[in-house]
Amino acid sequence: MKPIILPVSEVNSTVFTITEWLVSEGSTVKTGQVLGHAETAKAIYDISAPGEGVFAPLVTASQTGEFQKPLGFLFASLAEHQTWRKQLAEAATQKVPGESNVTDKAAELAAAHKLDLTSLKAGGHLVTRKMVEAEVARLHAASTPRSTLAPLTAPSGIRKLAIIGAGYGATQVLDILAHDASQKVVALFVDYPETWNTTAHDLPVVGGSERLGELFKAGAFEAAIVSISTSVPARTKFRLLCRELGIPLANAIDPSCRIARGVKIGSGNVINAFCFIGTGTVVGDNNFFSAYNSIDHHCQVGSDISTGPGFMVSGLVKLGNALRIGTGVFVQPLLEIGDGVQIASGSVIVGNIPSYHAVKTKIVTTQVTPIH
Amino acid sequence: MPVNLSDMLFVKALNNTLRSLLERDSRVILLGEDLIDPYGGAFKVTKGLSTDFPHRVLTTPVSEAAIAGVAGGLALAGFRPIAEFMFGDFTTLCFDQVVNHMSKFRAMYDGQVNCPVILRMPMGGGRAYGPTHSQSLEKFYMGVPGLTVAAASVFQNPRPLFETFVAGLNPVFFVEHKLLYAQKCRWPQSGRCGMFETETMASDGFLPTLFLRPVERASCHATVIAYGQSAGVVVKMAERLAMEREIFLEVVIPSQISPVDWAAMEISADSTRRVVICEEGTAGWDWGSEVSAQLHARLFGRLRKPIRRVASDDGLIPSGKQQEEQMLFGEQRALAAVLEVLE
Repeated sequence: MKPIILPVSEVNSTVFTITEWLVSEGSTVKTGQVLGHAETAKAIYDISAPGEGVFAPLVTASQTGEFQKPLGFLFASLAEHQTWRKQLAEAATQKVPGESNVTDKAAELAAAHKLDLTSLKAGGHLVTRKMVEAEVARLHAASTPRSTLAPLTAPSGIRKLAIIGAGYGATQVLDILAHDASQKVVALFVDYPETWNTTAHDLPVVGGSERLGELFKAGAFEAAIVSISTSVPARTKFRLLCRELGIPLANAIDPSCRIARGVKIGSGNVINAFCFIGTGTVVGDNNFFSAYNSIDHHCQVGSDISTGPGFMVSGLVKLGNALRIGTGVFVQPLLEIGDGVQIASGSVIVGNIPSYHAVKTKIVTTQVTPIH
Repeated sequence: MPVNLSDMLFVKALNNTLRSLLERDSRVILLGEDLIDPYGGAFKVTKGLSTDFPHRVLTTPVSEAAIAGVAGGLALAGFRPIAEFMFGDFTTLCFDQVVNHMSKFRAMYDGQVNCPVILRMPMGGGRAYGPTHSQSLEKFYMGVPGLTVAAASVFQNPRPLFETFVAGLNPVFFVEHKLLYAQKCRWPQSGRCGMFETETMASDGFLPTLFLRPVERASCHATVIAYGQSAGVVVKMAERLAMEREIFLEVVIPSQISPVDWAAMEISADSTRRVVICEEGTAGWDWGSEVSAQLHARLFGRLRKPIRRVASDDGLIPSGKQQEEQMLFGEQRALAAVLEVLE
């Protein structure tokens, strides 16, 4: 197969019009035979056959052609010409450039799960791996039998609570609430279908977050607590979900904590043993403070924070939202820590930290040697 | 398949735009070298217009200074001249008239006169036209008070832009990269452009800025800001990165490049916090310098990486096709910068 090109170039034209083809597709032409004409801004050129063969146009008459690019082809035989035609037609039906809206990663994952993408593609949006993952998870959840367990009940006057998550965080929340006679945990919600219909900590796992709204409306519980401490985005996600569903969040504050006068605490906070909150401090919602945190006087604390033990904050400090704090972190007075900041264990913060920055610390590690 | 209305060559879209202006506004006059039929301008933008509007499409001597001077005079006399320079490189010949006169008249005469000249400037390389017919000289016109610098791209219909120019009182320097003419228009339709969702934003007094993103803004990994032909290069890269690697870029395409609508740029940069600025002008003292400085000042502490600027090499543009390709801005250098800010 030999390309037919216009072997000239012009300073003032990048394209030209094929005014006519003099031979029809499938006819055999001779070397040098004039096949058609091309018109630029300044001249009309002959398009000559670069050899012998069966002619087929790529650019049709009155369409635009480009210099040095194929306008048509010459084939060695009629059979070769027909194979090319067939391939061209197949290519046109298979993948029109710019029309496929599935990324390679999404296509790969869909193939691995034998997932039909027709409905995802119909949206017109780009289909990404994340969308395929969500679809796979949705189908998996749909095919998993739903939890049929019912929440526990509580005598009237006792506030019924649901805990989101059933890991170590939930254990800590349950331990705190064991000292609280006014509230009782009646159900756990976990987003892993394999845990459904089981019990954990003697409590029923009644389903995933998709069941929160339904059971809340039915009066099975009155407020929820997010117990997940290891993921700040998860804390944020579930707080927003509860807000959307109109579910209030409850605080779980260990009785060993010392909360000074004039402190304002929002809802959904988990405050573990021996924490101190100084006077005049305002705490937001849905924070998870590990044991021995000390947030001194007149601080402003955001929401969705998760800390390790020994987070020591001086007075008049402003803490942003969605912080992730390691173990043993010290903050000097009057500083501001922005949103989304992550601070490594052992850091001593002596200056402001802008939003969405990580504080890394060079930890001096003592060498560990066996004792003889 | 619905007929894609935007699926025409850019040169045709521009021709249609000029035709509609001539039809609708008797103050509009086109002038420039070789504009009249049958030649219809070096890039065929005015083809057919002199036949239909013989007294309002004027061919001029080969003198850019004269073209600018006549256009300036026409504008002062109440016309809306649209002057074509055959090559934007020769904008040097009207620098004084633009900077010291056209852009200053309104303020110097306390609004008693206006000089709304529209200067159409074919710029850019990629055609191996050599050092004096391939440049992107718009950087010399940026930051000139009273002058609007705008740039065409295949993603924006030129018609509303020109309607705004003709209705306005400022002189306009309109950059048309010469590779655009033979490209197909890719105007967004119903909020989409190929794989991208699109959004248009314009602060008061500014021309629109277009946003193209493969996924919602919050899921985009980086912002790439580019105008004109460079925008097309960047969009192609964004398509490839989305399909092959699921790296999602929000491409920000301003139609006005000086003064800049900072609010529009900031909104994307503030979301992705990783920014690359692309342009075809030579590196240094360029558009990207100012955009980068402004965004750094506005988003200090928010950015995850220093902003990267990508431009052509700081040198003469050679006539050899391959040598030219090596020194001009292209997809490879844009890609390297994007991967760097994503590290």
